[in-house]
Amino acid sequence: MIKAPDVNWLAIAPMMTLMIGAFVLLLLASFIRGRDRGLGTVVGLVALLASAGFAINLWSEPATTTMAGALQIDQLTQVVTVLIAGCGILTLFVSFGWNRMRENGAEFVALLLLIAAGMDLIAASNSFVTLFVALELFSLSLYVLCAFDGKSKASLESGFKYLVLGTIGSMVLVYGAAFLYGATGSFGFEAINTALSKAGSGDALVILGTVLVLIGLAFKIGVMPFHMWVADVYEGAPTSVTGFMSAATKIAAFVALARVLLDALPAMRDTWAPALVIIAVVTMILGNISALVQTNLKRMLAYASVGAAGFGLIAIIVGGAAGTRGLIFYLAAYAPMAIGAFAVISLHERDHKGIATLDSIRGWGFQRPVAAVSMIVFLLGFAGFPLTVGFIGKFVVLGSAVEGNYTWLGVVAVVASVISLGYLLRIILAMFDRGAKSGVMMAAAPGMGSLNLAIVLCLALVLVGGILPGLGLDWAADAAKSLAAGR
Amino acid sequence: MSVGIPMFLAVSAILFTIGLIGVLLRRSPLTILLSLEIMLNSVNLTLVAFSRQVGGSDGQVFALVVMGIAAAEVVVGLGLVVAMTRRSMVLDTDELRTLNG
Repeated sequence: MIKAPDVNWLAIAPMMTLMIGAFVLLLLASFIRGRDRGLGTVVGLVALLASAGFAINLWSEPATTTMAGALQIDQLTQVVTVLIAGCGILTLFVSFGWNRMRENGAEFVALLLLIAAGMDLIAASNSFVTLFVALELFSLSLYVLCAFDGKSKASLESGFKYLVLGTIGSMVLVYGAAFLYGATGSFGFEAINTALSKAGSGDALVILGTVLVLIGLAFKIGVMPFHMWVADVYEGAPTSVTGFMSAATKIAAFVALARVLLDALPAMRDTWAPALVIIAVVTMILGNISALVQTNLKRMLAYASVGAAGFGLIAIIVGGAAGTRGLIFYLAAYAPMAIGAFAVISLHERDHKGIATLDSIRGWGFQRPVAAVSMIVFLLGFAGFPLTVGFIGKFVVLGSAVEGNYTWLGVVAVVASVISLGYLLRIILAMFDRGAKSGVMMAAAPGMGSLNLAIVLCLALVLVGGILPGLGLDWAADAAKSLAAGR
Repeated sequence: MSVGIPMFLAVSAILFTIGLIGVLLRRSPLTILLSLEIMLNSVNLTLVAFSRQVGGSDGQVFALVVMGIAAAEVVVGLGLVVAMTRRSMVLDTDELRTLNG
């Protein structure tokens, strides 16, 4: 008789709430037809708020492991849970007025909840097995969400492309994990770390495993040269999903990278740090240059997010208490800006009834001043202007780079930010182009209110985080202590 | 004569490469999904081989987990292919150029 592992239900309550919410929704959806949207939104909000509530409640508890050591519940997990729940709630507001929500709202929200649960589990994962299962839980649900607009060929195509390239990434990751297992005899992060620090880092199996794991996670984050799916998927996916993806997927994938590199493979630093340096430089410079030549706003912001991922890489390369704190704060800061910017694009698409391009937004700013001004704040936040949370995020990362003797990487990052102004200003100038006659009709579709609410909430978060960052920085510093490198 | 671990690793590396080449070069979405399966199974072979070498069953259990997830992934993949067929999209990845990537 095999003894079942002890389960600390309170510790995994945040994830369980989300999964139960998803299953309840799928069950109810088959009985209540035609009220999908209201049902989905209400259950989704309750589940996300409850998971954030449980996480906040667990904040002051000491770190524990549960499920036979497969999950590690610590403050990093709680911070990620709250952030993902926040992204999910904003996404619910953004997508409330979307046509597909009226038809299949319950399924949409159920998938969203499963994604959130998978992302929380990534932050809690303590071994490659848990990491892989959590990664696939959120990826598989996300492939479906990308293809959710079944009437649009672009949406289906983006879902399929994401599935193929995302699965390659996962396979490379597991292949690498298999080699690390062969060399160290374990999948657990701590056990791998112990084995490697004893045996040294020269083994060819270990080096191969490290490189493959790095490539697999780089695919998931979408950094150069493994970024080819990003622009297509961001463009084709429904805009509310794109916003969620650019914010939440980055958080989850970066936390996975930090857990693997800083907790399991610190002994292999000599192998992965130089590779990450090259990837970071290429990503920041080429990502922003590729964004310069785009005319489709979603593609432009997709490349902008590729470029932005470079900052996260810098934080991981620097490591230590400063680097990990910078990473967490930067990811948190990026989320409201990304969701807000894609929410404004979503608003424009509903007004314009077509895709958002630099041409289609000409003069649109005069018709929707609040949304357009919010967009300016989000875009300046991407570039790192003061008074926005983006400035604090970049400042913390750059500060850690200087401290960690990577000043030259910081200089590259600043140059990349200057390049990014090139396309961010083009969007702003196009929105307030006086000469253009705007052929855009104002849409009076219901559900516009919740979209506006989402934009204003993101705006508030970006400004409050930019003016009073102290509390967020403290939380990030506490969460960073959950990583071995942050102590 | 017993077959050593290098042989298993070689076979799985060959399978992985075949799968990767298939994903990158073949044009039918169905063949691409097949190639992904080949990659998955090469990973499983590696896991089981290492599991035998290391001792213990961790690797074999992980291989089972990978199989389960592979099944879920194929369900999503085939679902998308069916949806694409219904939208009368041509099942050829060279023709999937609505998004110019």
